[in-house]
Amino acid sequence: MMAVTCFKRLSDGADRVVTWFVVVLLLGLTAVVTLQIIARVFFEAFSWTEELSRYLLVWSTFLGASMGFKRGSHVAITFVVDLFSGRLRQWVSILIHALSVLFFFVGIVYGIQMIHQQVYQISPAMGLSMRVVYLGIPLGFATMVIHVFPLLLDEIVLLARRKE
Amino acid sequence: MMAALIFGTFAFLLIIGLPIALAIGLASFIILVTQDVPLVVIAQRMFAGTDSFPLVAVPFFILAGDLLAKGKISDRLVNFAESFLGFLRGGLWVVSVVAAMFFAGITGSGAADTAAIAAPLIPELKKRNYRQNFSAALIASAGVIGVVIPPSVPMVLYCCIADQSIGRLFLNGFIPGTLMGLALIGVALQEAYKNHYPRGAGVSLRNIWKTFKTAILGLLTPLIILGGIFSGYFTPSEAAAVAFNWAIFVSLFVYREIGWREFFQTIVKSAITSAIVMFIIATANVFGWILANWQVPNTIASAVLSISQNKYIILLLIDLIILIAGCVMETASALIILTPIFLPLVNQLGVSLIHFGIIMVVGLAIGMVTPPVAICLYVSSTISGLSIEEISRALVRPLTGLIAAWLFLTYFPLFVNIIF
Repeated sequence: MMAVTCFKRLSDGADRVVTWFVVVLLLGLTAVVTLQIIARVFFEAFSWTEELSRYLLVWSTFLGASMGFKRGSHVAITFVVDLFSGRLRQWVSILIHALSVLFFFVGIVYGIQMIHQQVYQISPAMGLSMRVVYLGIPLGFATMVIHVFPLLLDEIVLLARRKE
Repeated sequence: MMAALIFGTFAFLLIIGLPIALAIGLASFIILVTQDVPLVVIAQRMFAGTDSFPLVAVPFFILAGDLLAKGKISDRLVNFAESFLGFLRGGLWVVSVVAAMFFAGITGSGAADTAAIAAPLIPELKKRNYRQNFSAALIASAGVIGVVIPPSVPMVLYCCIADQSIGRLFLNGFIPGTLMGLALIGVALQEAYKNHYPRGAGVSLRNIWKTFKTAILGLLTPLIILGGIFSGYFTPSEAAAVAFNWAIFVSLFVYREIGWREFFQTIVKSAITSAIVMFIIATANVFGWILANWQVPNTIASAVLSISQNKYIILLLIDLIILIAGCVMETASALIILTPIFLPLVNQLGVSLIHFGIIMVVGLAIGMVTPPVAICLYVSSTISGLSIEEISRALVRPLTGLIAAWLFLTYFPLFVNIIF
């Protein structure tokens, strides 16, 4: 029981940090694209703004997606599952969360592998190491695990209790 | 065989209720495992799918639309529309449709458009004894125009997948959006005349001018976005960023209707909405890579063409699939999945990809009011307090109007490609 509370606290804490971070990323994205327009229209176009905005989009996508899992707002087809009765639904719910966590681990493992494969590659305009750019993907998936794992644990505990 | 395996796995994961992005991703993972492909391709394709400058427009259009929906811009647009349309029999219904069309020029999403218009109008319609479930159904149906009249998030997504010019598809969205609006106005007037609704107050030029002045900042938004794109000053992504800056300026500094706290909350909400769409794009890019690698869309194209070569029959079939997909799936996901599958077929039929973009976006927009998955219906139900079933009963005629407009657009491309 303690473990479940601990995981929940971790999930809440991670979400608070990620929420602030994503807001900063989006405001940063706004500033960069605005700067790009101002620079091009009035001065000279920067070479790095478009690249940076793409990378900010990638980071905000995967971290923002984790916020969606925390709030259960990802779109899914539920009208079929809604037809199921209580018991079956509980099992399906466990299956869904288990499969979700499985895919998150796929994202983490191969995201890290992708980073390992890019030892020397740097981004064309900013000269930023691509390892830093790619990091957003495994980081996002890790946050998703933090959010969905407690839900899975909760359901298993609930099911186990009912069995007793 | 490959197609059956891919779609079978995907359909199973989807039906048990896995979030769409994960159903696509996991189905792709399973296929790649069975086919012995290096799995790092999953991470690479997810990165490549989101590492795109045109897609930067997605969060910005969502942010701008959400922020302006929060302020009282929609009230002002409603007042302006009422100043010259309120005199009609059932005038407030006509006003609802026209206000939704105005707000469609500000937002790129159907749900935001419905919410923006329903919030001021549903209580007012109730007060004036308009039939409530028809009001809710009409506003939900008018809200879908949000993705047809530019800016439009689904249009950005379509153009990124089909490699078309966003500006050109935007420009070609005006006539279809207007046509849908006119169809709904026709339905509303018919309903009002049948039930002998009274006429509203007369038109006064002074009132039109007065309400126009208060609504001007809202009405200017589409002009800034589209003017910037078509004059060649901005790329669509830059125009979207300008729209968001404009939204911040208008709502935080001119009208001052929202504070910093609400501003932060709106950004968080928009960030999630946008990330959900972008995350589907990411995993769907793995899926798309698999489809292309095993030439599934081409196989489907030749299979369909071996049954019939008739362009009109195949278009009807495509429309039917889009309509069904719109019923059971949310707009962006249906669009992201269906577009790459249909492209080779559409190309072989000789349908222009801009025309097909309109067919796709309008068709899936209609899907926003067709249950069970119908975002605009949910929004209108939440705001009106009526159940989905009650609203659905009044939905038949507005829906017929929209579908008629859609079929017209499918078969008379003249009206779509009028502007190049």
